[in-house]
Amino acid sequence: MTRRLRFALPKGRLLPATIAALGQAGLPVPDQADLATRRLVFERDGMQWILVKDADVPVYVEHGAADVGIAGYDQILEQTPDVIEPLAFAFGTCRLMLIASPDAQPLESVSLSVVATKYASFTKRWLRSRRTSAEVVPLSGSVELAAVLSLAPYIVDLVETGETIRVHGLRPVETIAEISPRLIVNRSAFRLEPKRVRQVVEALEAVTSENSKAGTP
Amino acid sequence: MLEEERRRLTDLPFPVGVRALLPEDARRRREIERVIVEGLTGSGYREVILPVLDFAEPYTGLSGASTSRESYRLIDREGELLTLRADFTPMAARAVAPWLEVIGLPLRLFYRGDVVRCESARLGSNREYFQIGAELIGDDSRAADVEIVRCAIDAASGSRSRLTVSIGDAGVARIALRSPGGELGRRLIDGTLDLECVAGNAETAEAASRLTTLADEVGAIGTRVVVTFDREDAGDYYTGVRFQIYAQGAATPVAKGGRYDSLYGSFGTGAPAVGFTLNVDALEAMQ
Repeated sequence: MTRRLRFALPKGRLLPATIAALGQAGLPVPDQADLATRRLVFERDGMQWILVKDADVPVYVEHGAADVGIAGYDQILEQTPDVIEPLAFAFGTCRLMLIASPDAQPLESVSLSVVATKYASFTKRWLRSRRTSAEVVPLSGSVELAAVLSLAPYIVDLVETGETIRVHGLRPVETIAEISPRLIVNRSAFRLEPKRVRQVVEALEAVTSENSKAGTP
Repeated sequence: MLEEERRRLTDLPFPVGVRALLPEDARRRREIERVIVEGLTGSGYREVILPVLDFAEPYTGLSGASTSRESYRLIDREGELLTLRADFTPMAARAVAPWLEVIGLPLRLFYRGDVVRCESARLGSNREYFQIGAELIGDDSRAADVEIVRCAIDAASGSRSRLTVSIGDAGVARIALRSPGGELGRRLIDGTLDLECVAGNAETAEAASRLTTLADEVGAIGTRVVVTFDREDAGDYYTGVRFQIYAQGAATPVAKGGRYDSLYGSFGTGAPAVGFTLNVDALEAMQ
């Protein structure tokens, strides 16, 4: 059975570095000319590449619409897809952090605090694991404004350089998880085509110096 | 107002994931079921009929669909916590274990009916599944593993597409996960663990040999067999071989099963057992 593998790539910020890493591993990645078109599906040497939104990569891979994909660890924590996670990449790293407005009371000291985030499901689980019963407000972007405008005294969000936090006068409280892009594999694809999946994993392992997984809370 | 209310009720669909089978679909279902049941009966498997409702308590020590958030649980009028059947295997063990000494071993059983799960595992999958399952109790031999996998292949062959059997082992996954930093553990988690590596480890060599026998015997009947090791194999009540049967082009298995040698013990009388369940809805969708 020579089914071609379908590989889901995240559009946006991570795409150039992702394609560079995959190309370095010898995989037949789409080239610049391909990417300059508006197409979202590319065929290359028995491999099919699809470009989807970062948050959608786990959805495509979990349900078998793609066999393998590269997704941010933040999305994996939020969606907890039932997939195999063979490796983490060293590029595009950042931190998922708890951040407070300047006048926030300690999270545990208030009977019902409020945390605004794009990662509502993960944040609820994380708060419960800390035996904290704060309310979670789901937002879809510009989360730091929630703390600036007193919608919530706390936010949980990604931090790359810390610049956004600084200019808004917010206070980093703690790092919840180290985030980097990860390779994810559909369980059925893995069970049906273990050799082909293993070849991809081993090729990528060879180019990934940072092979150890970041801490899971 | 009354007319509006009536229209709302007549337009109300069934909840997502459940459906009614009208005569033509019902006929197809019964025909598929008849062929599978004849096959099992012909191989010496006898039917047991299990209830759809049971106390939740007996299953609390186990892991699997019947105890996880996948099962519907409710409080009855006496305040008892009940559960709707979400998994046949533990319920069959609970029903049969007290009678094992009377009935005598080995015992070949099958069952059929609906299981209901509230968290559908996959996109577009049902909440109510029609399953047929079979198990061989009281035989821990390699031959018993082979018999059950072959029964499952026969039952799934109604899909009329080329089948692939993926086999792995719960014991290997557990041993590997005991030391995630070790060679076995790291490769299991990375998805790069292969049979050679499992055979080379003293703790897992026996399981590897067992898997090789199973793969050879199942391959001999012309079915494609792949051996894979997945950390998920360590979950649930399984203790030995685990397998999934895929039809070509399908993203979910039509049948799955494995060996659970300590399940009967947790319901009173210990006995090794190996079995499978077949997802009849998936078979119907392929025909």
